Amino acid sequence: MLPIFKSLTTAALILGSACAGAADASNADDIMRQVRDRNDGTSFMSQVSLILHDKKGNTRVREFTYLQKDYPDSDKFSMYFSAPTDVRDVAFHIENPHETLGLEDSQWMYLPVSRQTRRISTTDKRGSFMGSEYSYADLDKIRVKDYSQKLLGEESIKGRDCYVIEREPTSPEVLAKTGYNKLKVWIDKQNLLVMRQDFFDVKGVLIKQMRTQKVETIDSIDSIVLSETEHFIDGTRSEMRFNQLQYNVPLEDRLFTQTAIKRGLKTGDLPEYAVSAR
Amino acid sequence: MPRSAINRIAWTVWACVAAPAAMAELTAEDLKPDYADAEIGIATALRLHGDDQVTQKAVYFKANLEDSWDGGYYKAKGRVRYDARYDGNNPYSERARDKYRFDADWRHLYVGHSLGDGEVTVGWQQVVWGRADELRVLDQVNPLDYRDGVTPLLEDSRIAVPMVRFAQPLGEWELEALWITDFVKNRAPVAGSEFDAPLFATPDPQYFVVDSKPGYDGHDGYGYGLSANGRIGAVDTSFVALSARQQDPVYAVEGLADDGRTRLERQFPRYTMGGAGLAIDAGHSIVVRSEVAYFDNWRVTNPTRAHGADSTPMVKSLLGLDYLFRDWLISAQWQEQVLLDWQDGMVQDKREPLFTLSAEGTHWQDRLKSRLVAAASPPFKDNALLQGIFTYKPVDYIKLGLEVDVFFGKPDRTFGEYRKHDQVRLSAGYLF
Repeated sequence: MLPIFKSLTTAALILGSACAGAADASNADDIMRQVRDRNDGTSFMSQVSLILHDKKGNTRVREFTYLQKDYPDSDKFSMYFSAPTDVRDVAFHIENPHETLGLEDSQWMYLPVSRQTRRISTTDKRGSFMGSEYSYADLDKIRVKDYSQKLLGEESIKGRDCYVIEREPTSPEVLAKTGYNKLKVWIDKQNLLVMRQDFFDVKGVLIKQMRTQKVETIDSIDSIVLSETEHFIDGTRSEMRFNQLQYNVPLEDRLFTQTAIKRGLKTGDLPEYAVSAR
Repeated sequence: MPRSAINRIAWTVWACVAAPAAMAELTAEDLKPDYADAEIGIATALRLHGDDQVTQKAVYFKANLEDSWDGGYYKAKGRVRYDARYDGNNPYSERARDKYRFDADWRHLYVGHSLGDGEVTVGWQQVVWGRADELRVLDQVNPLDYRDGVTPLLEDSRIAVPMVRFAQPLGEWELEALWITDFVKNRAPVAGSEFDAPLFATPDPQYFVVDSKPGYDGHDGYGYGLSANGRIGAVDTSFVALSARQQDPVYAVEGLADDGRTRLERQFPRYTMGGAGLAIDAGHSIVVRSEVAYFDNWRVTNPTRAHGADSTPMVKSLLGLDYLFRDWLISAQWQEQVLLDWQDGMVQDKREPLFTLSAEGTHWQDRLKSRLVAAASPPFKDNALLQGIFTYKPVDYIKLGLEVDVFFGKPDRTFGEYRKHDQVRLSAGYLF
């Protein structure tokens, strides 16, 4: 149901149904399950700006088209970078089997420099996503069973009532995959969006914080359209801004294969108002 | 490039693009490409041995144009280089000066048109088959330019060839058919240039005379290939087949000349190749890759023959492991090339193994990209290369490059023959 990207740092980015109503959760697992399973349409499309801020305040922007579609056994998504020059035509395709299937996801990357599509291992997701403060693990789909969850209480973030949940990996494999020894998540009680998330390393040090900066209701779905992640150790910061966000768009299956990312997006592949031709 | 190829491609391009466009009402705005980028820069190389250590003093310009319209698009990418080292006083041959002083080529230049879910592309293209890291097992479509030796990345040394290519998605698979309209051979370094080496040697005129060099224009030079890429379960799978001409020359013995030297004919024989490749995520951060290709009727020069050149089946195979560790992708590859029917006197070894270990990483918010490579064939002390390539972009429009190549080994081995050519390359580019 949920795409990796939609669940940016445990469902932070685009999750949400405005009519979700208050989460009727008796424990943290239930809350996380509701976050994972909430209605968010059957497909999704956006032009995304990934803005990197270094510690001197310099800024660089990376643009990409993000596509996602639900399938009966998995969620599939593809990302096509269009700017700047050195990442133009770089593309990713990721397939996320539903958690109940107990399968790992699959990931491919097309690099125009080598003109090859390469399969990328998904066992280690600690690497930086295109140089940003978001790691590949941060973009991953929520897996409830990968963590033991504890409801710490309730707090208000930006005027929104939130559950505060602490999550700890249930196995060394999950720890090795993400590099996070503990996560602390603030979840909006009404729309189940992740409003904030703290990331702790293996020494228990708070290394990163993801903050939801802007939420909009699009096609009756509450959606995070601006997210920010700050790395406290490096002094760097990244923003992810979702533009032209659209749900339930008719996207063809041929766009969601590992071979499609080599071909890239062409005029006519997407609804005209969101085309990013290569 | 053969004139016939240019004519054919030009007509095809005109038919696909210019004719329909001419029928429409064009404005200046229509002619402006959807996308354009360019880079201008300088590059220099320093050999760490001998005299005249500066081996490159170049200015380069690269441009990339793309445009699309309803149902079609074009892509054009070219580069121009002027190397002052081949101007004025220098130790290089006259031919090297003429050839390398100024150089321009298309990295690709083609038009594409949608046909249902598929597309047809026409023009000069690069087609890369397989998943090997800078090695060529299935990747046999495009020839290479060895002007800068054996160390540049394939992307920089691959030569675009004129072809018509059709690609059709079929569920999780993509089928591809291509027709190469004209033969283009590997370009060995010009004799008397910096990277001229025994590896590229032509027959010694003291003993041989090459008195026949048949051309391969037109109908003699075509090639064609098929590929299928997709998945079988969790395994990425590729199948390829190619009929083309060998890209390096083979010298066939024609008899004896009046002066007693052996007469040779330079040929680029036709061969057929079939191959397959796979990749699978094995867990533990490891992806396993493998490729194997069978070359039928592969020809090899054998100066001891009374007539002709030797023919043998050849197998190339590769096993690779990619290990992902945070921001580093570490790859180990073992490639082996075997002549199944090797004969005494062949100028090619029966077995040619090659091991590569590489690590590619990005740091500082992707500002720095590093690639470290060790390549060798056993015994490793006889033939090895250590290479480091670093690209630093302090801002999006500035690109600084550093490459270090260090060779080891015996003078009759691929890397060993360059052991006096250890070098440092520096470049600075402005992107706009």
